[in-house]
Amino acid sequence: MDYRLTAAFQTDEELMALLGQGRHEALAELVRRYQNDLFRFCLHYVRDAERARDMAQESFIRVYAARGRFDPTRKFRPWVLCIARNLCLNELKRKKAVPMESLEEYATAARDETGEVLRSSSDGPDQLLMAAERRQLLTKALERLDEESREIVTLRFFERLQARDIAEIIGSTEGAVRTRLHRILKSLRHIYIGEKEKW
Amino acid sequence: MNTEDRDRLLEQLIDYLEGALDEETSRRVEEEMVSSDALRRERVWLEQLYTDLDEMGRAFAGRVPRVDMVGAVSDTIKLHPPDTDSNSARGRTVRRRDWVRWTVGLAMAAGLIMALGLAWYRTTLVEPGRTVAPEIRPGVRLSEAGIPKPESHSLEAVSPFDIIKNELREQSEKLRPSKLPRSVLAEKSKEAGEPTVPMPSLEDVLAARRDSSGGMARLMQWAQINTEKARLLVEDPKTPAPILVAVASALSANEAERALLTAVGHLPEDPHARLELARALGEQGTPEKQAEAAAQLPALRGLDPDNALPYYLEAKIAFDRGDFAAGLQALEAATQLGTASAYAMESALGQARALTEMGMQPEVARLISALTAGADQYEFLYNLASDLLQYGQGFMAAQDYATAEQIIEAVQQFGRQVEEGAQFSQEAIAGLDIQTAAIDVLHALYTTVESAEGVEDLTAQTQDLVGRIYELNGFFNRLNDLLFSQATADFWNLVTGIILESGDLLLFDYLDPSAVRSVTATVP
Repeated sequence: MDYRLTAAFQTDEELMALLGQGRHEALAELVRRYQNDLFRFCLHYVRDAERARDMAQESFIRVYAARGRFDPTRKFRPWVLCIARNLCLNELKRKKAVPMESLEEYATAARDETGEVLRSSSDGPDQLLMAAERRQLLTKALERLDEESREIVTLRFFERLQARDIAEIIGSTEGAVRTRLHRILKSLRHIYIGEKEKW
Repeated sequence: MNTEDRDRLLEQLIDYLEGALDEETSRRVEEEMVSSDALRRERVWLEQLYTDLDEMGRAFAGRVPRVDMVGAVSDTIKLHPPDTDSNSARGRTVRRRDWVRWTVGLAMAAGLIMALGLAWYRTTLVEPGRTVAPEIRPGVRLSEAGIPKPESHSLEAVSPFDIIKNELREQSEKLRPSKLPRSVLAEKSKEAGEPTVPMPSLEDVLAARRDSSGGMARLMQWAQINTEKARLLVEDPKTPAPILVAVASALSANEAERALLTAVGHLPEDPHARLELARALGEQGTPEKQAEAAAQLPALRGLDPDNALPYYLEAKIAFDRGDFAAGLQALEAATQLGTASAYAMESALGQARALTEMGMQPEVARLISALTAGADQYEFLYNLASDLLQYGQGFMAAQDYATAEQIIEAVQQFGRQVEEGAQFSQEAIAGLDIQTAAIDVLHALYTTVESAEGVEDLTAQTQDLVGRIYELNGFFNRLNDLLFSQATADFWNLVTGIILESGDLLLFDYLDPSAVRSVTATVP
């Protein structure tokens, strides 16, 4: 049976092991699985589709280059995201671009065409107004976070990574990530309430 | 409560929501929440924050285009093999043809001919008014058209393409029960006669959707706009334009044209009304009506400049009148855009309003529209692609392989654009089926001209397509689990709301996973 027909049933770590044995088709399956995730992940950093695509593509090249020393006891996903993050940060330093500039774009995405995203079908006008108000306050609160905090918010809530994986990606510990998450959410709360009082 | 206590509680709550507490501490937090209003309020606030952040992320993710870099990564590794663990050379990444923005033009066709190294290709520029070989028969559907048999080919009898094609066939077969081709269902509903339950309840609709024998026909009967009621609505000057657009399909050609002209007059900025008018005119088939249909397209393009569909319509109309240069020019412009949409969302919302106007309960009307959304667009889009492919095959039969390839690759791109712009699963199926059909014809072309490289490219594209069909099948499995569950009416109202706001493809992104789990646990 053609290997390619069974690749879909291999775990990421099994595919890396096969890649390490010289089975290059395994890389194609990994690319298929992660190309969109990685592209979106890089987009958070470099904010440009073409560059994000280049960074994602280069990440896979790095995966291939490191195929011989991948530790099969570790998880593939945070490992490849760590590679992608490092590439993006180096790229940003090289191009002197401003990383993770604004989370306004996330709010815009939630506001414009999909502006109804924060309401349910049964919401009346009051609930819609509350949702719009909440969105606005949240955007203001997010804008006031520092760069590192915005990165944690992006990884935790937009990429839906757990603290352990975030720690691996940014080169920290799980405890440190949790502590930062505490600070961020408390800070958001504080800013949110302060903004609300101004209204 | 002082600030320190509040901070401590907040941290514990965060860890609780993150699942980071051990069992004993979790239990303690839950007990504290029972007795503490302040803690419960903090929890509500935090959960809302989590939901809002999650939705912001989903909305962003929903706008990020899909990419295909399998080929590019493979090419880069072949051309610039990286040293194990070394830093990559900058700028070495090979950019393959970008599926998202793919330019197909005469110049590229000429370049492709050179790359294929087939000196006997004619690079004929098609002149306006040139008649094509008699093999082209407009209106003949793809399945009826003959594909020229190659006299000989040197490719292996069982190739990697054959293997992946089998897998494509298998996955497509699994998708078949989820398709809702309107014309087939309309036939079945006619056979079924008048509905025994003229105004269904929510339970009736769900039962019909679950019934694989005659249920879909019943659903289509309920979804049909009654012609007499449609006429009354059209005659009422107070009927809003979106309802006029929705009921036009129930009317005769002339009546529909008048209703849609009225709708466009009321809402000149509405691209959906404009498209439906162009469709209604084009479907009448005469050269005069085709010209009137074509006259709507510039306005449609102006209203929705990123939508490739008007260009494909323009190409088809140009081909029908024999102006192949204009048709090819329209295809070239079409393939440079990102998405193609026939406004299934607007159509579904209009249908729900029209059914409500006709006396159906609003939540039932919305559920019917949500469950059948995109079916009409599937037929329209697939038939358009089929017509264009027919022209591609005609050029193949006339041995103008360059032009044939340009047209067929444009149709393949059309399929990708439809898939990319899909909000509903039926639209996504249309995009996938169009790509499948184009791949079939391209394979015939590459076999005819003995292009091993072309077949190899096609194999990779087909493999990617199989992956996406597999994903869509996964989506339908989840949807069927929901459909067969014992969910409450409130839950179905929530589902309908999400579908009619964001499309069914994003349904599971917006539904709370724990709610889905508890509902689908009731599936017998």
